[in-house]
Amino acid sequence: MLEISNLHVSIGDQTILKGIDLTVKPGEVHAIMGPNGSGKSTLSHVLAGREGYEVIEGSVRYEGKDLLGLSPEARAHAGIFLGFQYPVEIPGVNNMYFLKAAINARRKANGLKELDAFDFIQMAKKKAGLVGLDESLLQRAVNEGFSGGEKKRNEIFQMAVLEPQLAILDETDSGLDIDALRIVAEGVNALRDPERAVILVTHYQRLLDYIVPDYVHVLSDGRIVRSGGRELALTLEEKGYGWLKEAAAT
Amino acid sequence: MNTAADMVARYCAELASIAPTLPAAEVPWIQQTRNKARDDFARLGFPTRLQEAWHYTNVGALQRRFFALESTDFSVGQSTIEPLLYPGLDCHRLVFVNGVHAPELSAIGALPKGVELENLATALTRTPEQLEPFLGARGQQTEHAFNALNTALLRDGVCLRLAPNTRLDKPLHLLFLSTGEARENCAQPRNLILAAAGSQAVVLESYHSLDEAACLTNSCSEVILEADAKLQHYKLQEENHQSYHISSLQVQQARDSHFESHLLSLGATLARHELNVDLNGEGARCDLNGLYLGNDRQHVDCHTEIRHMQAGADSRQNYKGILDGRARGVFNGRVYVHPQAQQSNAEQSNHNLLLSANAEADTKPELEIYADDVRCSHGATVGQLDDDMLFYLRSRGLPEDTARGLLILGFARNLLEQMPLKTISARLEQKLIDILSQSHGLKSLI
Repeated sequence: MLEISNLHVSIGDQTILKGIDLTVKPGEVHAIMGPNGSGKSTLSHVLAGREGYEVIEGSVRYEGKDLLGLSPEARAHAGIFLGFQYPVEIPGVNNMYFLKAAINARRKANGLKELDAFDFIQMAKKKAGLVGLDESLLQRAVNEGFSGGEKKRNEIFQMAVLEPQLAILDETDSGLDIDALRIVAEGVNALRDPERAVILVTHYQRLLDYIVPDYVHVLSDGRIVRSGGRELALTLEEKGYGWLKEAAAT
Repeated sequence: MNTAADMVARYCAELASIAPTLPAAEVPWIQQTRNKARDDFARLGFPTRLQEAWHYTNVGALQRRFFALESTDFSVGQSTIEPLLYPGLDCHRLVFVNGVHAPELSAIGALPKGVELENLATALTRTPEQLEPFLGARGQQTEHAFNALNTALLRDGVCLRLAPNTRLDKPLHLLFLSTGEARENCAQPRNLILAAAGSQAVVLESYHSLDEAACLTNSCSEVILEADAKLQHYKLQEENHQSYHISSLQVQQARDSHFESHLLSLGATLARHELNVDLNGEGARCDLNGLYLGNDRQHVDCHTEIRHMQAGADSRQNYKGILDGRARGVFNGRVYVHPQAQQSNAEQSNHNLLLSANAEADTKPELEIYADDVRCSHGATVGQLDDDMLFYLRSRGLPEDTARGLLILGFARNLLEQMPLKTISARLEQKLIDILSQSHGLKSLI
């Protein structure tokens, strides 16, 4: 589904990613962990098509095609979803209005019939219930005045509505209490399916108690320095990231 | 080649020649008022950018052409105005064509007791003595060229009078239509709203062109709100992009009165909206909201002046500009606080969104405060669409132009949300969507 090879990315003069190799197959959940500044968010943003990053070497292929040449919206239409670490507040843009426009843009790009207002609202209400998002938030401006937990829940709600093939969740767990974390995790688990894949970017292990990954990768200084199964996350939890640096030095 | 002075002389000559045909021409004070205003206009000429109040707005192109003042009959059918009406808005309606009342298009209907609603020409003829205090020497702004030009004609417009504690039962919709056919015309409506103590009204003024002729609208309105009176005022300006729109609205507010203004300026090559409010009594409050859009080479200028003359009055101004192409938007907001106007609250904000590298916004707050116990704030911004917001929307699948359109609409929305009448705000929002759909792909998705 996703093949990242030797990816080097810079912002301005600074090289952030220094040769990432990662293959994600349908049905898999990959966790990417690493200390602050290791390049986790850069990787998420580059995959979603954010401007301001320069790919200086390497390639990313998604479902066999070059991904890096696509606009952010074309990536969304192809089934990629980015859950933001800091969801943006957009005053004056109604949550439902926006999401209906988003889903219909994707349906249109894929040659499907657009949803009418009634079908959309029925579906959206059902999904909101599933992720525990208060229905009153649906009629508010996107993320405006939402608490941290509500913003993250809104990300998961949008993901549930858009039903992506590849969901990239950038530190979705940060700032959540245990209850919110559980609901977010349930939202992600509900999406798990042999055809879909998830990349979880996280600083902490605790999310992985709820969403059990198939693979864990540790990112440090722009490189994946170690990959393994779920037990790698537990080791990190126990020993911290310092352990890796020591291990790398020896 | 005409010089500006030649053009002023030409207006004065035409004013003099049509004077005997104007309404109530035989009433001495009206005659004197017109003559004095004509002399004022001859003396002042058109404003130039050397005058502080016109520093950002050049009327050079306007003064090079002559807009005919003489009224002729224009046949405008009911079907022409149909699309300009607000479905679902049950209202009293007065229609003006080139500044002259068109009774066949108007529908005043039954009025509550204590409400007098008529066109100004009728009121001038019927009760001239009652209007003298407002339109005669006392009511004049003598140093304002466009007001002088309007007063020199003093022909028609609306006259709304509310007796104490009456309420205009339905909104009043005033349609001002400009049409040129073979020539460039000048419409100079003169409006008067007198709201006695405790009275209430809702008024919507809308300005439209019926064809592509370049016309000049030079409108003057006076509003007098006595104690506890309330006026909700909406103004939509959507004349064609060849036309010129100059307007001034003067508001006098007594104790505990409330004036609320909502402006949407979309049309004209040059639009100038002056709004002057005098807060003359304790507890008086004004809320002024304005949204102006400019594209191509449009120039739109919002000029406000709020004068806090007595203690304990509130003023709030919120103006927003959306400027594309080579358009230029100006906001000049002056707040004056008199030495005895303690406990005044004055808020002012002006935010501008520039959608192209060639668009320009000029924002100039002027605070002149002579009392020490006051709360006055102002804020102004000029910016572009936010990249983080754009990326967020696009990452969900919205095409870039749709994302931009939604953000622009979002920028405008809080002003629409503040309009209490949803039949009006919904219609105005649809107008914005229509405009944004031409440059941004909104329509296909909403």
